[in-house]
Amino acid sequence: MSETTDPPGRLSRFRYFDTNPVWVKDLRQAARNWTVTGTLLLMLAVFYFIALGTMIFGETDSGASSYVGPGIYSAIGITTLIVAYIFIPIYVGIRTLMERISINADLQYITTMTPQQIIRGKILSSTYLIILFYSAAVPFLVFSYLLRGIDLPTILLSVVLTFLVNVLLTMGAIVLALSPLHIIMKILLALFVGGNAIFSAMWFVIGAVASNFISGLFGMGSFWNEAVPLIITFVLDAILIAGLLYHTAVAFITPTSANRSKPLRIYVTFFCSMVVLQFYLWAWFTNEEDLYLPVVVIIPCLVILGFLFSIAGRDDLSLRVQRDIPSSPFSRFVGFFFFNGTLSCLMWLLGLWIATVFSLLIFNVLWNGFQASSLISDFDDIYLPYIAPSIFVLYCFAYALLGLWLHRTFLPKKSPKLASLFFILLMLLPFLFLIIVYFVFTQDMIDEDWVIPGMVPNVFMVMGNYPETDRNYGLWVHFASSILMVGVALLFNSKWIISQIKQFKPLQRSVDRPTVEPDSGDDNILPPIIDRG
Amino acid sequence: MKITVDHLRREFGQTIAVDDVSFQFESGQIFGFVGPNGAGKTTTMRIMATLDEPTAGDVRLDNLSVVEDPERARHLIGFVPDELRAYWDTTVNDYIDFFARAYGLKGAHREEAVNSMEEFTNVAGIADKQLRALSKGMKQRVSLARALVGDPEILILDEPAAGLDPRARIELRELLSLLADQGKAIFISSHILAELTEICHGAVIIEQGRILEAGETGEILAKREQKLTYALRSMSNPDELMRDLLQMPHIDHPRQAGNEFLFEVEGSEENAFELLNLLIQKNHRIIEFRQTKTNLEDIFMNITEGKVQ
Repeated sequence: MSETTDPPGRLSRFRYFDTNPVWVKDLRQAARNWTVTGTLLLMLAVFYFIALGTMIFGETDSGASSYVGPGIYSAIGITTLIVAYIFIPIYVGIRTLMERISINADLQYITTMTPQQIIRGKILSSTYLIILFYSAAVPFLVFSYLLRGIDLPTILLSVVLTFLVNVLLTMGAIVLALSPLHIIMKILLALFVGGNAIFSAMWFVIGAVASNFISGLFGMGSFWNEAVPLIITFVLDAILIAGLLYHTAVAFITPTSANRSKPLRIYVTFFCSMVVLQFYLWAWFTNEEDLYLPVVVIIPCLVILGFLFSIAGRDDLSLRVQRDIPSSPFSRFVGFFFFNGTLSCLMWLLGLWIATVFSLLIFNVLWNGFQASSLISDFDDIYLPYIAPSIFVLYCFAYALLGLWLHRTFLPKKSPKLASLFFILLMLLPFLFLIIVYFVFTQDMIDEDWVIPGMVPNVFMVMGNYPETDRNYGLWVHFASSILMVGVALLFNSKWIISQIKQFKPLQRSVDRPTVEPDSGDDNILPPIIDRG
Repeated sequence: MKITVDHLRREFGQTIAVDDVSFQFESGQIFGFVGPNGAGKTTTMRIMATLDEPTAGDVRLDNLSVVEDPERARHLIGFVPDELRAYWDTTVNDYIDFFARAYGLKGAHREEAVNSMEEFTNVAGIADKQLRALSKGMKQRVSLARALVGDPEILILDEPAAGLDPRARIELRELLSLLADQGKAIFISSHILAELTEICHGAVIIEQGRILEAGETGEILAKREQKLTYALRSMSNPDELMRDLLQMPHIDHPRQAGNEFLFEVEGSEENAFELLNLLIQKNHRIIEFRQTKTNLEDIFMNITEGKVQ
């Protein structure tokens, strides 16, 4: 009837190259979909009228000596931006969502395609759609160049900038559509987080273009020393974020029985290293010591978000994962942090933060040794960069463990996603309860200078409202209480922790495992696994 | 190839959808999967098709574990779900072509496979139609073509005959017999039990997630034929007849099916003769009394209670 392909060798793989099936399917669907063609035609019509209108009325209003290029460029650029930033992520997101909407996932997810291949196909097809929309806009943008007042490098750079952000937004829509959340949650996130991301991106891009930031790059005194590093950083950051979104999407569609955490955790470790390195390099070479500060904001946020998601998954190891556990003690120790498992994920995240603190220490020492200015040389300066973010991380680590304990103790048969809910409730409810009780009894709000150990929201109050010496004292109290809470949470979870560590051992097959004698003949020959990677 | 379902268990929270399910069948056989709604049929089939993971147990295709090696197992399995997913703006040809690509078929091989599947399932004439414009029967054919395009050795069909007209059912039955003759192992769930009896080599009967009976049809029927099934038609009042039947010795599961009464009689034909005598003595106006061949439907009705989890 049909014939499967032979396994391609390394060199002969090109001979077997074929277009990604998801790419072909998605583009065929887009070509048949009236919303895509309709939006594209509508956008072209708007361009036409903008160009026509600017030609007729622009000349009349401003006189022949005035250049209408920037005006027409802005109008067409903004129209492209609005259409491509809003329509494409929504279209791609809804299409992907429809494929994963119920437990009856689309059958493409159980073909012999790998999750990586599926996600690559999705990204390729959505990128192709973006290129299609931009290709419709580019002739009009070049037309604006012909009308003078704007130069081609500015047009090119702004199109590249807009395009990259558009690709990231669309990838974000794919990730959200594939996330293991309830559809209502997905819609809410799309409306609030997605909507916010789209409008922030539009604001960022329009701002960059309208404020002549992009054209200003070409006018910089030292284009190669100032503008080029900025452009390279932006492009590299876009690639880094794209990689993060890609790996997240792949993890979402990989079966839970597979070791899906491994590639994602390895990439996130790489991602965090690059983010940290980037800020250190910029701080070092621009001599702006405050540029290290985003590190102590971005990494803790990522770690805390990681805590929230990691406790919502299964904490047992499937046969497939057990089969891959290395047998040598060192490899097994390292593997523990990167293989599936709730405890391993929590420990890995905590490790990320500890590594960040150490990197900051090293950077600090190097800076003080080789730079003219000093970074953190006084003991009183360690609170904001070192202690405060560590307090947040430690508190959240403790809440995550307590959330797990509550779920395991009281609702073990219910979804593990409840552990994440407990995490959030533990973080907010005690503080809200305290405020309400205090208000009921005193008809007043709690004092801003209170130090309330064990409550994360109070850390913000301590950081914001205190004079420096009191602030430092408050932070020490919180630091001590966060360590105490971690200790208590570890004690509550001690049995579970031991079981998690014990289960991380290579698969021992029982001798009496029932096996079926293979039939003789060709039926027993399995088809090869074709690595399409 | 031998397909072995081995102590399969699937829990959804506190609900045990599939509980210690074990059975096996092999290439060239059609096995029916029978059970009331909510019995765990779809869950079992989804696990077999690698769409879901079991809480415990395994499904092995010869020595290949579906749980441990789902990626390899997918090369061997074609799955036809109870409904075709929403590819509303895709043509039949594009749909089958996509899955052919997804199964790694390339160039001329792919074209050949797609065309032959369209011919085989008789959808070549509607290859350019969009899926949303197709009837239920046509969608089932497309779904079958999709499942077959990768040339799987095992075909799992979840309620493929539901919603089909009589002609389409007969055609589907013929297609399945043809595929079994080609050496494919076919596992099919259906509510239309009479049809399964005609084409199935064996059956698995499940209720509340547990296997009630499993094996080759001959074996199951032989086991059950210790009790002979009889059909009775009478001009008497049906309620009175049912009341009397319930009081008769050696009778099991009396039930009304249309204008007939069906029941099993334990022991030899002597008991049936005695029963007929008793009914005549009670002035029931019997116009037909015959022994029927036990089929899957009889067995299903006998051993299931219609309970769901």
